[in-house]
Amino acid sequence: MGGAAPDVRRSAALAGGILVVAAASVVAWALAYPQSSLPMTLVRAVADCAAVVCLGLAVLPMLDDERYRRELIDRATVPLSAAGAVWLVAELGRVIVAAAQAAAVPVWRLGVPTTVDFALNTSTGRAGALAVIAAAALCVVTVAAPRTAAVNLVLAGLSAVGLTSRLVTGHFFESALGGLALAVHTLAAALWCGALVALVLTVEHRGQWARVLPRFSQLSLWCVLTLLFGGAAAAFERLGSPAELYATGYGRLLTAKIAVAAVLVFMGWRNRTIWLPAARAHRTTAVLSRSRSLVELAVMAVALALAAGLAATG
Amino acid sequence: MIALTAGTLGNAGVAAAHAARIASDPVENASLPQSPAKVSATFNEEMQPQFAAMTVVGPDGNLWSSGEPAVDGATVSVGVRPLGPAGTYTVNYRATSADGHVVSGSWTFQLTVAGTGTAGPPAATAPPGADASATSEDADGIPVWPFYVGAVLIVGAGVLWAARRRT
Repeated sequence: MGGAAPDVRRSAALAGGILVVAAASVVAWALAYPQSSLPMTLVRAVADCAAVVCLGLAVLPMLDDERYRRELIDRATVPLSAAGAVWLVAELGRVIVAAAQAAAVPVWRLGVPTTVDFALNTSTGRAGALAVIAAAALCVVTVAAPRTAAVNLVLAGLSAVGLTSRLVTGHFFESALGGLALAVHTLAAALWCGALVALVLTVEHRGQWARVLPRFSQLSLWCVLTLLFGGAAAAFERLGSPAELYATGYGRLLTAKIAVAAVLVFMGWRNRTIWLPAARAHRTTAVLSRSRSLVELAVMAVALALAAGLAATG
Repeated sequence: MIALTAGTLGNAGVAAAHAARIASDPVENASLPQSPAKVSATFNEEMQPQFAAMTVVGPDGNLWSSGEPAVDGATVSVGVRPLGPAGTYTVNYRATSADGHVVSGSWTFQLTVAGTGTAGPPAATAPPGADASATSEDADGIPVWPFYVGAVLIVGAGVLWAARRRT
């Protein structure tokens, strides 16, 4: 591997990913219309996806054998700083869009004092500021600190803080059980999707796939079980009656998300029974492994965008 | 994490849907013979004191509320000038609930006997109930977006520099 070909594939995959996230955000906004706002859904989707990628890139090297770990950590550095930068920029944008929404002014007329007031004095703004700080810290640590397994753990923690910071003030503000279930659900989903992105971005050759994929598969099984359990508990807590599943914007989005989750679980199960044994036995080429992951990732991106829409739905 | 969990537990209560107005003073479509001293709306959950807005617009299109809205728990209120012409007065409100959602709306009441009060500035130019109407346009001289563009450029440049340095 190496050279121009994988780079082209990667930029094509990146462009495809951006397209999928944008399209899914629009769909999420349309499903919940008129209860959500498009800029908010979009900026949330970008921020969440970037944070998920950061988490995955920080965690993935742990899945390789200790003596090969160095290679994955090194390879993850550049994508990690890029994802961190996107995350930081998106989180900043998210605070600004939210402040403009709260103050009922167009974004371009929003002033600095209002933004600062929003970020420091409202619970939503403070949660956003916490996420901005987590993203900024992640960027600084990635670029400046030595790249070791311990530092990677810190990075994973920062991503997790950023991902869950807003749950405290969101829909589940008044329900401890729902909030906890949602935090568990979010982190499990993030770990699953993020680790898969990191697989595609950093794992290069057949031998690496053979070592990392079985452990990823193990991890993803636990993640899926946890996220289904957490998601079901949170939905149960949030919805008053089954009729809300199609009658309200929130319910329609949730239904779409359940459908996407079902597709993902099916794909994961197929991969586990077909792809995994082949990859473990070094029978699958790295290219084939990567294309399989890309398809699954596209569906995951849809799920994440729907999740962002869910959180932005009023 | 423990603090977060504790904070969530502390707020454990009824799992309610979003904030909504449950009462208003004067009540919707009330007919009043004289002006109220203030108008208020009560919501089903606590509102954040920041970014609350409430205005009273008279039949003449002028602003009849005075001062800044006050938030006390779940109630948002604003003072009212002695009212002028008889007719329909509209109360516009906009507030952020504790869970961060923006609630906005309006209700009306009638003044049956004309008062002697003098009107405030015309309300036509102000967006309904926006906090920005009176304060932010004057106070918020510097818009925030140039800073955002600057931050994007700095972060981008920083990452490029870091990537170059690595390879």
